[in-house]
Amino acid sequence: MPASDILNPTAGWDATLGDSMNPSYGFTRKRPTTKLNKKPIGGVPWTRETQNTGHTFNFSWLGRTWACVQRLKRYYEQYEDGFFTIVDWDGGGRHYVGRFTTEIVPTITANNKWDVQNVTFEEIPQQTMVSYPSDWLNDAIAFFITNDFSDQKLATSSATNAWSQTARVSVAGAQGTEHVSLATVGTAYLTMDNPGTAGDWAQYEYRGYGFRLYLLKGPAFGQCNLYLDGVLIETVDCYNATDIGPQIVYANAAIPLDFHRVKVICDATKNSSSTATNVSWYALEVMR
Amino acid sequence: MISYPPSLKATGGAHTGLPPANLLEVLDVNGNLYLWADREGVWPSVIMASQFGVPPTVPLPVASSSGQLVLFSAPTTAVAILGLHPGQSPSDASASPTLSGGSVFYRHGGLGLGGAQINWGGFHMPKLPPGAVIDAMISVCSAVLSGNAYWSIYDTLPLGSSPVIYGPVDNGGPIGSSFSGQIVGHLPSGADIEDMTITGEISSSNGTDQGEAFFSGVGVLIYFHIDAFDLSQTSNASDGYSLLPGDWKPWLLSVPQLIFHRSLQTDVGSFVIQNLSGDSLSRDTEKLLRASAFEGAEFVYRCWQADAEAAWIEVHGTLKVADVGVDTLTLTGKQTIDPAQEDTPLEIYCETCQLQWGGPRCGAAGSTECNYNYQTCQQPNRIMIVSNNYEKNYGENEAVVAQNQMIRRRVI
Repeated sequence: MPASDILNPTAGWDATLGDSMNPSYGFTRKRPTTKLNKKPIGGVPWTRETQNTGHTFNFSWLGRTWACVQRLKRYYEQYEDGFFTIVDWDGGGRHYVGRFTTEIVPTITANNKWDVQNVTFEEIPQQTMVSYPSDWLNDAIAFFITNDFSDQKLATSSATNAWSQTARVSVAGAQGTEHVSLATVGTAYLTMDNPGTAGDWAQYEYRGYGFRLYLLKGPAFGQCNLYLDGVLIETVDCYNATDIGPQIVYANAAIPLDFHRVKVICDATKNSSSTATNVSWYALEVMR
Repeated sequence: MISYPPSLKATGGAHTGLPPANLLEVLDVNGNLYLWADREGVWPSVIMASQFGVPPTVPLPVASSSGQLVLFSAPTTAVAILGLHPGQSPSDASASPTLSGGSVFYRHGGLGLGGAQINWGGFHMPKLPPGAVIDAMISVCSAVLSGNAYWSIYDTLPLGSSPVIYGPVDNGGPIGSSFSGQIVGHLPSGADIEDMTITGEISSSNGTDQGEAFFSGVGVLIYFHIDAFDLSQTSNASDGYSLLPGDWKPWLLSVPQLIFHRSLQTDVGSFVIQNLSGDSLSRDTEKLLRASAFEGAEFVYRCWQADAEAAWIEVHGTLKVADVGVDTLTLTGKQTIDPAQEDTPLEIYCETCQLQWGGPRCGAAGSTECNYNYQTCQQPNRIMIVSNNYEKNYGENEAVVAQNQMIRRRVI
């Protein structure tokens, strides 16, 4: 399995190579922009995600053994039409799957000392990984129902126009995204609400890896079906004996890089203890 | 030469002071109105004013204030009731209802209370533009009355089980002397005029009474203003308008350079709209293109000097969709009347008649189909051919026009 072929499986010294496979430099963690951008003279910029491009790195290995260079050459040849895993040990051990897109050009600098510079590694989307990124605090971003310019980004569908935006104030116990805390009473937030009409849906398309979905939970909230890319994941029960505001109702980091659609479909069902079938969407937190 | 308004002169040239805003209004062929600008702001609308600001033909009992528009709702039903009470002979009364008024006549027949009336109903709330806020609704009816019977003109709105009379519009009691004027009733805010009835009536129980009334200008006046700052109105899909709120969208990326010609030559140019906004699944313009027909849509473009509140140039025309790109929507603006856009019957000028035999345009009522030529035509006054005669080499003195049938399809 290509993903399990790891160029640098250990953080430290590899005794079999007599060297370390970790690059000297290059984990710039750069990702080319995938957004189109248009701005009228006197308006705000409009943007749209258009590609599922991943990260790109430009590595350098300096003063390495010939065994290290051989391994680099083999990985370049082997995965010219494939992908392998490289680990950013200095950056918290995050894995990336992809391949070298430029040749390995070794330069001898001393006795059994080789430099390999300017090797481009491009991440490949849609591939399984040995370890998916899961640093929600540093790598995840949050998508709310509108962007900061009040343009609604959450797609909704209802035959009866039942979806509506509601401005709310946080309650104690509310769970915000990693960067927007709602635990403090008084923090305002916006939700997209539905009375639970069967068949009504809300859907968000994002580019990234795994996600965490935040829905409101309380005594008047019902159940809904959660779909990822058109496949039913599970039925979510939003009932809670007390009103605790937004909560993570589903979290899954083990999703490859790609465009993904997270969809909540109301089905007018509820927990037997619940008083209503309401469904309210707060946010989607996405690993990038 | 069209002179600029003084306010524009006061602001100086277009390249000084505030930069002019580019404003594009589009009224598509489905009636959706879109307002696009190159910046944030709320601007006056040309199409909205021309489409919704036409004052009604009836006199306004209350003058509209600045910025206020008035629409008129006329009845769609008019029903006459003669007699009014059991035992009353209808022959004592007559009525001629029309959808704008009518007349009633009544002469007491000595059988107690009687009369005649016209009930106008079927009022429909006119389609109001996005952001419209109704200020007042007033029912009106102009009347010319004569005679000495009783008369009343009133409107009724069913509330609950029994009708509630708002007004009465007026109740003059015995006519006594002739009356001519407009009767006015102020409707409560939020009244549903769909169920409203306006009644004009003459009645009497006195054996010597009689009266006659002529009604005109029956309807409801809706006074409203457009609250362009009402951003809460984010969807007007249900009333047939666009999905956009009533404010201007800062979507306009570029406008063409327009040249005014001294001849009848018109200019063509492209308006570029951003095609990125919308939810994460679909673009706003995709929704617009699904809901709209921009081919042939009317547009008004203005180079608007905000501080002068006037336009440097204003261009009216029609649009066609030039390109739906990944990040922009390009609409080509052309002249208002474009013959190339017109659908005309596919007919050619030739010696074969282009009309369908027996059809409405032909008019032939016979039982035998013609041969679509002049010789067999049954309605020569309507034939649609280019008639042609051919001389067959006879001598000049014996010229004979051929009388044989000619079945040819030669395009002239």
